[in-house]
Amino acid sequence: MLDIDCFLSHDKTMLIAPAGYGKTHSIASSMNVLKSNGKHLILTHTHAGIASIKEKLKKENIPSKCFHVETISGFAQRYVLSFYKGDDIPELGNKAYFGFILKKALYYFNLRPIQKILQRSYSSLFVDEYQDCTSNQHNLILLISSLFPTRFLGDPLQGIFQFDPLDLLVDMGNNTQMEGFSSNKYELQQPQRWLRGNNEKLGEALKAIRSELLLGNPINLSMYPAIESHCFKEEDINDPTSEYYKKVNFSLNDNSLLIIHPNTTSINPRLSLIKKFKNRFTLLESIDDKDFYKLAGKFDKIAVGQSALVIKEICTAVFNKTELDKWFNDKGLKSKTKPDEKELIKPLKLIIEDYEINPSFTKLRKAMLEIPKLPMLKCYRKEIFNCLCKSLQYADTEKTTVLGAMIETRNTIRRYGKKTNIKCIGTTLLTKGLEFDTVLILNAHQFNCPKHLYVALTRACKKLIVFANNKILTTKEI
Amino acid sequence: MAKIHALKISNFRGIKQFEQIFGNENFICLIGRGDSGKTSILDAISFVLSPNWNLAFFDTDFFNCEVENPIVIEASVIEPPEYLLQDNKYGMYLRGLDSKTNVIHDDIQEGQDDVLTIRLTVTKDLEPLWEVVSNRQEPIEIKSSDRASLNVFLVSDYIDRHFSWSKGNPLYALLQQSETQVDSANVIINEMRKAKGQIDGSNGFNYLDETVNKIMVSAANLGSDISGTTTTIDAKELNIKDGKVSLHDGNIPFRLKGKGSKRLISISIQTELAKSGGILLIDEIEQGLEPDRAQHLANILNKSNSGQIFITTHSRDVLVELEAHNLFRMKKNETALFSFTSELQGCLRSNPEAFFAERIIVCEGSTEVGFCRGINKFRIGLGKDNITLKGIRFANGMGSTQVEYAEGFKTAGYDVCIFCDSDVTAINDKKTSLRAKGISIIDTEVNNSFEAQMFLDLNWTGIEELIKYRMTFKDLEHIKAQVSKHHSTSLIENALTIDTPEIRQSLSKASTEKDKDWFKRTDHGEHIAEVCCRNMEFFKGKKLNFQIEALNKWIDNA
Repeated sequence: MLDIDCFLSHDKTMLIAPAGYGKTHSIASSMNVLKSNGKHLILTHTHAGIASIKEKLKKENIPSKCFHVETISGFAQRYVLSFYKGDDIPELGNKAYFGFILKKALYYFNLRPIQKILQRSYSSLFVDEYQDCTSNQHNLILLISSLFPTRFLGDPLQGIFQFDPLDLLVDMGNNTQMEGFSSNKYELQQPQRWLRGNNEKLGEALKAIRSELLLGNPINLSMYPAIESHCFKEEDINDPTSEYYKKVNFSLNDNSLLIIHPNTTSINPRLSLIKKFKNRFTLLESIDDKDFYKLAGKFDKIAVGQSALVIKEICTAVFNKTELDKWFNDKGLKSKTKPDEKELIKPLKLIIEDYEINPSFTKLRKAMLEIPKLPMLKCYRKEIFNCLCKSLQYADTEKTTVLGAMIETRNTIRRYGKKTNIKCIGTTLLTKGLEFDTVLILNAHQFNCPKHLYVALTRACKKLIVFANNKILTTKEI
Repeated sequence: MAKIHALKISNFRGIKQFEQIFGNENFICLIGRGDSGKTSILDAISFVLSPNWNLAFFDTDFFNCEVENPIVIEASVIEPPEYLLQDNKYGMYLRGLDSKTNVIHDDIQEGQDDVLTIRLTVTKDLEPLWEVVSNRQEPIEIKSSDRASLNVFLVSDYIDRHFSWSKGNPLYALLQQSETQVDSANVIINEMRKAKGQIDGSNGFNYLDETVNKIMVSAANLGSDISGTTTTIDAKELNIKDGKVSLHDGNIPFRLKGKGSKRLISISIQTELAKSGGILLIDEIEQGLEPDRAQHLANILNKSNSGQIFITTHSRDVLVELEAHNLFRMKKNETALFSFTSELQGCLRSNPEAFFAERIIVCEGSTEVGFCRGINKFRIGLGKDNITLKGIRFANGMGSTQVEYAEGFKTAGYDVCIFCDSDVTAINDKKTSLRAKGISIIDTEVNNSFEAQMFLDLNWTGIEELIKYRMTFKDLEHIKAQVSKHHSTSLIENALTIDTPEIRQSLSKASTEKDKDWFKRTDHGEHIAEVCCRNMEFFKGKKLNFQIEALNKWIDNA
């Protein structure tokens, strides 16, 4: 167990916390010690991170007045937008925005009057998921770490958020980069997530794999009986008669289930799997996937008489096109002659006609809700579809654009997180920090980076099934 | 602790526009003629930093009652309480003071001091809105409890509440500061419960039992058992607010004390507060106090102050306790206060009353002061306007410092006239530059002292009157002996009755002889003026006549 008092006795410390070893719990224990001693700033990277820290602190009865949790970007942004007078701030959404904010934050946090505000506001600083800090963020944190006791928590082996080749992630193992923090380094030892009746053996296996990965060694799956592993040819999954397909299909019976696909760059392989497995799992969408905004924006620009066409265009992106084309043509709704088909399309037809006379977003939402009722139509991107319907309703009541409503809807999810106790398919980038009872890793041999492989393996807390073309997984060096 | 660095006022009572930087001044004494707006400034400060959650405003609080133009009062506070500058309070509204230039910047730079600017706006709906402002972002509302942390209190005529323990009162603020950290509300409620317990157990109401018994019987007949009935005080009525609990002298509540004592007690409560910082506002500090007590109070406040104190006064006794930098002069329709240069420090001790005037005649010495007073008396006799009506005071320039005083008064916004002679080269040299500054100069002909000019120009009958006046102090022989010292020949028997140029000259020299001078006293000056004014028609065209005319003209503001 971590000796909290000892950990807190230094002005600069870092805690290495492997996935599932109780990192958030350590924050809560620290806060329990510090709660009568002013207000403490806890910085992390994602809104999901904020939500999980807040939830933990609430569970531990830490009074909310003694901590403040924020993302590093949000925190820097709050100060810069309060103190910067210029009007040359790039637009939010512009790639240059956060770079600009960080640069200005570095300037302002260097000023004594601003440092005094920080010192008056906070008695100490915790930075969670430190491995996800870029060098620029790291410099900013180092700057303010001189103002109050500062503690970093993180796991170098989970640093997978490397997006900007010009702003590399911090290396927590590098003593020069970590300055005074390296000399007070603590490490969590207990795989907490797999205790308490989950799968203790799996926890031990992952601990062993962690050591191998840190050494750059290949992983021999057959050495870990706690992990169910299968050797199949990659392309077999596309063949419903293959063992690979059958095995996966069979495993889909569990409830809290995640399928991890190694391809993080394109959603198409994942979409095609959803189709292959007949919609038995859903696509985990990225919070900022452009399609949410692109499709929502189309509702705002409907020309007279074009509503059916726009609905078709939007639905083509989320439903199966072949079936959709049975009801729509280039002009809009097809006129059906068969009595049963006439009857099926009638509700949608009436809504669209009504919309053209007296348009409203609520009517568009009603029309959208009619689409999945048509026979054989399958929605492959349910999250987008649900968000579109939600945004249409919101736009109608709040008298705003659908795009505006979508931004609001996505931000709410960003802040409060979303339910993930469903069967879904995602990538390491989309699921870091989440946990599922059962995890299936497809084509595991495709993981080149040990960090991605480690993140993928550690998402399961009860059952882990790994599919690969080889029992031995080799990754490149860290 | 919090201090007001700068104050801005628009459309408040008699003030259209006003902006003043007080800088690091901790003791500010506002002076100025009645109705110039001094009290409005104190009220403005007490409003913008008010600890109350609401204040009542009326149409009459708007400049010219023009309710379309909102009342805006803005106080920039330096050294605000630390907690107000946390990032979830008003830290993000921080502004920076460049202490070298006294300019407040919205663009925070290294080396600046912390400033928070608090703004009160009242629009025609009469609802006050308090906000913290910076020009970087939208204003944010500031809660009354946060304003209360600035500890601003006004001692005015309505100070009875200062003796009660309610929130927002100085006594309460003092209690909050004390180290024992008592919860005042609990103290009072507990005492009330004890009191009720004593009444309950005292059987004091048992003479009512007979009536109560009748009701008990009657109720029993109707089937209700109320046999446990007693008479005592209803706990609801004991719900006395802390505001009802106040200081007493024996059995007499402090609110029944005399005006002066009440003010002194109120101020003493607040100076206790000011010891750990706070902003104390006292309107007419001398009110209800004897001159010596007012003086003592000003002295004590100035010496023991560790917060910031604003006072207004009309008392010369208060002024002499202060330094020139403490003084700020309000003039009607001006957009800022006038401050005083350190050159006026001596003048403040010797001529405090001049500071309350609008127009000042700086006289070279006591003779000239007396002479001017004499002219005023003569004007009153003639039924002409007196100097007080004209807002004029005379100041004694004490010879060499006369020019500095005049310049100091001019920069402080007064209308200034110098009344002097022309026998000192150093002063003569400065006359051109003084005139250029807009200072009027009434002087003698070149190289003449005031006495020389007078003995030169006055008609002989007048001179004989002056000799007669001198004879009320020294006998004739003594005077003759003194005059003869300055005469080329020995004086003949009736020399002082014959008008010759030489005897006039000898008289002039004798009258100004060092340590044996005749007129260097205010009362002497007054007498000379009376003689000169009465004889004016007999020395028309002479410089002395012009001087008196010029003084009269300046007094009449012609």
